[in-house]
Amino acid sequence: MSYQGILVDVNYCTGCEACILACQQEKGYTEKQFGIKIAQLGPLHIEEDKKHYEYDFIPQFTEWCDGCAERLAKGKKPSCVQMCQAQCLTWGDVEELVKQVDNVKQHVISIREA
Amino acid sequence: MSDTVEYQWGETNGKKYKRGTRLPKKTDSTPAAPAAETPDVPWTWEEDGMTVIRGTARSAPGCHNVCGILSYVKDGKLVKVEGDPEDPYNQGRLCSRCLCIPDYVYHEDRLLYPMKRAREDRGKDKFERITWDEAYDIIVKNFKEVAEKYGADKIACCQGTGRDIHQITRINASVGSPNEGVPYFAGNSCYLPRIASMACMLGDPCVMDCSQFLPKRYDNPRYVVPEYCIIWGHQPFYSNADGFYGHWILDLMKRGMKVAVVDPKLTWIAAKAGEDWLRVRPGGDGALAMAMLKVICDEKLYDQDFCDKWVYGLEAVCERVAAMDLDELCEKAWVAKEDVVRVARTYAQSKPAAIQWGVALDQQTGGQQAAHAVTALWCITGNLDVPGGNVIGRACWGIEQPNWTGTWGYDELMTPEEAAKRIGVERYPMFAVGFKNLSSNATIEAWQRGEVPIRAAYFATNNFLATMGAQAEQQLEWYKQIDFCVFQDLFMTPSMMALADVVLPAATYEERNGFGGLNPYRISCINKAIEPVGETKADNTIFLELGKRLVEAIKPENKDIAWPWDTVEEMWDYALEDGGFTWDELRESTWKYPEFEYRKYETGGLRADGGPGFQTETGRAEIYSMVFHHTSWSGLDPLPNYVEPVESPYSAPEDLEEYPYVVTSGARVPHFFHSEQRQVKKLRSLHPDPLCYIHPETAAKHGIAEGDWMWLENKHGKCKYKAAFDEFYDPRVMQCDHGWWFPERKDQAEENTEDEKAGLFGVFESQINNLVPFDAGVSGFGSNYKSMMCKIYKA
Repeated sequence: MSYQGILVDVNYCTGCEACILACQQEKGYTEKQFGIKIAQLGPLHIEEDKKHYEYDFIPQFTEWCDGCAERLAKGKKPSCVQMCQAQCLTWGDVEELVKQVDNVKQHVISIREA
Repeated sequence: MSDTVEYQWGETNGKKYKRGTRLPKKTDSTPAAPAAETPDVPWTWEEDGMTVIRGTARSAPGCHNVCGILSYVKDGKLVKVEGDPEDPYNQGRLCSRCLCIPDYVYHEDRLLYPMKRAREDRGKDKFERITWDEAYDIIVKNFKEVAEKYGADKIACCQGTGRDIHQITRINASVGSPNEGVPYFAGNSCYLPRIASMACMLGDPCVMDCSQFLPKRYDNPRYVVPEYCIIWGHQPFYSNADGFYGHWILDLMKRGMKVAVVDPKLTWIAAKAGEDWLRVRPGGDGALAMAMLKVICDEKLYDQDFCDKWVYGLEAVCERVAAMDLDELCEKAWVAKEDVVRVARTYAQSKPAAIQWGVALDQQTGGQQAAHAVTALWCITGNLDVPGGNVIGRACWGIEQPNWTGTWGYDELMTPEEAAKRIGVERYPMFAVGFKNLSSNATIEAWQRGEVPIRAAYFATNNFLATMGAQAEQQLEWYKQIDFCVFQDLFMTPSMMALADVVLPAATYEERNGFGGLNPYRISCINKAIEPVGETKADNTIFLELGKRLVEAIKPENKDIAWPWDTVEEMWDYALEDGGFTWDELRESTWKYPEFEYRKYETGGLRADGGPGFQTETGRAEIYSMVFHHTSWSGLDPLPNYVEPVESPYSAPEDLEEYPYVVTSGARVPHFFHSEQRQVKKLRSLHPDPLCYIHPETAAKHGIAEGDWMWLENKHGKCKYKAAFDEFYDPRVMQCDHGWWFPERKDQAEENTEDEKAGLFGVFESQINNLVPFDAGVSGFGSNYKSMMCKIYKA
């Protein structure tokens, strides 16, 4: 059995929230429903005197996300992945995505059976 | 050296017109250069029972970008919009505002019909639906009366920003008025201070090179990724300013570019810059720019060979900065000296290096001077017009009509006598040498003297009470004296409710044909996906239809040349002739890029005489500006300098006790373009309230908790915001959202019969511009929208 999912690279999410609208418009949701939401972590000091900061925007998927099954069937990317301005979302086979992970701020989520 | 110099740049892109003749076909004399790329992509197709239309998202709503989009239409109705993956500009990406465009197009509050209102009912919701013919007739009648009674120069075309309404300059030229611009916007403080400074120094404006001139983008072997970039007064990802798609910066960071960030706020990208985040004092940018210039000059880190060949004034600049005190400059900028020195050295030693700047530089008294200093940085380090540096861009194929500095119609339709009546041209020489807008500060000064400088006003795409208007409440009193006001927009705005005698409902980019310019990279097609909702019309269609009637009534001698086109597509064909293609041909390929060259000063691509060098008096990049040299009687300085804002802790120390804080404003929210989109639920829910970002310790001193409403006040006025804590601000600094009004208070407007202000959607309530002084220094460019002294207290 193979799985597909989305690789989120938190290093590059700029918090523009285009993904939220991409999802809502694709699925016909209201402003109160969203398949993806952005959480904010920080800004925090890691080392204050060195001006070293932690400031991340973290895309998180919800139960309203159906993985854009209809788009995938047509050979398209999920809506949030295509519209993401930071291009920090990658859709694909989990096994292939995992090979791309090389640091602590990347993770593969929204995993479904292919 | 002669004191009278004829400046050739800025003359409607160098083209001369013979008055009184029908417009000649332009390409008969000079055939157009071929396009760098004509893509083979269809502009429309069927998909899942929907029609897909490829096009460009270029206004309305307002935006400074020209993103490629795919519009999905079913049964004549717009279903959704996606970014176009094949478009080199945005490469499939799209921001929240365009993704939400169906909600905007079909919004229940859209204006659908032309309307009129009696002048005595201004401020009250007593509009009456009329036909387009009646609307045009009323406008023509009133403009003609003003022209006959007071003179045509008293008719002002008043614009906003971000919408493809550049043909409006032809409207004022059609009636014989040279007065077009942003008269309520102190100091023309958005990009024009920087554009004007660059034009005076280099003959042309520059933009950071993110490969956007090359259709193959980062893959083009001619392109070089900058090693280092200073992001100055700018949050590129949310602002997308000035034809610059902000996430290009992120593309380059992924490709190895390091960044420094000059910003009072720890933005996400400032956090990435880490120790190279320079937390500048709002209004201290000029001091910081001079400090960096001083480090590079004192330490001889400039590119000597490049300066010897191409730069004029290096010695004079070195002398100027040598006499300045680095400690004092850094102290006034509120930035540690070692950080300034490190960033300046890194910038000078990185090849190539770029500077991407924002509107923060314009919105301070010394904005023009700060822009001069920053421009000098990329000139003396040899980062001028090189791949990955700051490159010179011009209107694509010289197509002037959509150009950001263009004044379409000015030269061929106006007599020198008419042109001489431009407001402020004698007062501020920078307006005389390059720009053909009216001077907003000279207009404001006239109002202040009790004069009425404008008798009829045509406001297209402008909600100045919410956005550009410093001390808008005062300005409203002035504008009420105007005999006749037309507003053209998509929604009922506070400014329209306050002043409109006639309302013209405008269409979105989904409902019209056109082409997107406003950048020097490419021309792209705006492609109608649906029929206009209600009786709305495209801005451009309105200008064409109204322009014909106005010229016939007021300047019939120009009727053959002013608006000789029957349709907007014909008008576009004329404008596009310079490129050697028609609007239909543009639609076939959706976008066309002209061939782009780097180092144009070497090849003769910049000078009118075809010789090497720049289009300046000395032929060099003038960091000692000859334009300012000749006009120094006005107070302009040929050398870069640092000018402290009026009403700052250093220029008004006597006010510090009462007003101990500096408030800045205007940081962008990704979901709003200035005052727009507040009525779109999905976008508003992501940023529901006007926020003031404040250090928690400062708030605590005044008993303000996070989420509390608070007042900010100074000698000019006060405003109310919701406190949002951010401990990374300097405790003396806070930042307020701009552009706020509350469309949901429309019932108050409908019920309003007595209290005028109650019906204006709360526009003066959370209005940081209440605190902005009128001021534009010696140049007429740059005003203090971003560094106001204030006090605070809990609401």
